[in-house]
Amino acid sequence: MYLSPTSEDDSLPAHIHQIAIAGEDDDFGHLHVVIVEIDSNQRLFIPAYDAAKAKVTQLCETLHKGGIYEGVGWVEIDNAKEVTFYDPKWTGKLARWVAYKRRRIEKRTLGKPIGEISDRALGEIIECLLRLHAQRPASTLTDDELKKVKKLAAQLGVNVPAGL
Amino acid sequence: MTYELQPFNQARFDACMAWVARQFDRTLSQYEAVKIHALADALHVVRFHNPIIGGALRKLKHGPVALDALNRAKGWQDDKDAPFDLSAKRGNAMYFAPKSGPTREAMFTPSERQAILDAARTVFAMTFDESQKFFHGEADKDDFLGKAWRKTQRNKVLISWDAILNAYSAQTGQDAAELKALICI
Repeated sequence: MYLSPTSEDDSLPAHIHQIAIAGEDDDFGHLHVVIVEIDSNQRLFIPAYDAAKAKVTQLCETLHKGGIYEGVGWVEIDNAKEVTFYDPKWTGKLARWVAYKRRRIEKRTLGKPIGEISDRALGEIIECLLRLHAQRPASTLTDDELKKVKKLAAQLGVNVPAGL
Repeated sequence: MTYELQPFNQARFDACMAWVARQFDRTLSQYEAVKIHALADALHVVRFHNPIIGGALRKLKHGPVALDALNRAKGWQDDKDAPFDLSAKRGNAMYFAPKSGPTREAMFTPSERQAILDAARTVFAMTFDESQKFFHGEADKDDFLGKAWRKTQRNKVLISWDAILNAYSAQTGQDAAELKALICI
């Protein structure tokens, strides 16, 4: 069961996109999940990285040292189980979805979605992002983004950290 | 090598520049807009490890510039939806005045707004010659972005975030390896 679309848009919560970032990890286009439509043009994304990669381990260790732990800065999700890819060439692997590296991207720069993530996994990512915002409110989400993420959390039955 | 942390976000660029012009009650040249963009992104990256607007910086004659930002600023005069009107032209320089109406600073977090204002204050406080020294790494302090421009060997090539973070680390004593682990994945 996947989260129902909330508009006619093709870049909705639960949809997975591949976004290439120049120079990042050998130009490989990483998976990203749309968290919220900020407005008709803007999207908030969370990227996923192969959990086996040394750079990802290093990133998470550095976050941990800085007091941003698993569940706050990132969550580990088995994409093979939680992501349905539209093209069978994709299989999915164990990934770290890194809320700390959220991105704001314009809809016009996106290609077609390549899959969907399960409500359960999306809920974990949303909860992680909210925990990060609770810990770092000045630098994580704007007021409008927070409202929309909380609304999505309510739809998914996710716990909203106290104080948000 | 990491050259880009997120794709250039034109709507954020426009909103940022319109807000800056209104905050400081002044016009904005393309030169100032691209410099504020580069510096605000760099400041937010070293402080909070995420860019505000995104895009890849290139080593151009007058300093680090994202071509997407430069092209957008040049295009303000022809775009009726742009948040600026052309107010003056002197040689190649165009000066833009923000249109009336609400600004969109709510699309930025408090930390992003702070980095944008810090960048704008820095850029506006300098004469053109001082600005060239700053963005060519010849100022005495806080010019890590210029130092990275200087370290980049050839003109018109992309400036890596590794170079920017190395320069920042050399200037501030912050651990470059730790910054790179958080930023350059």
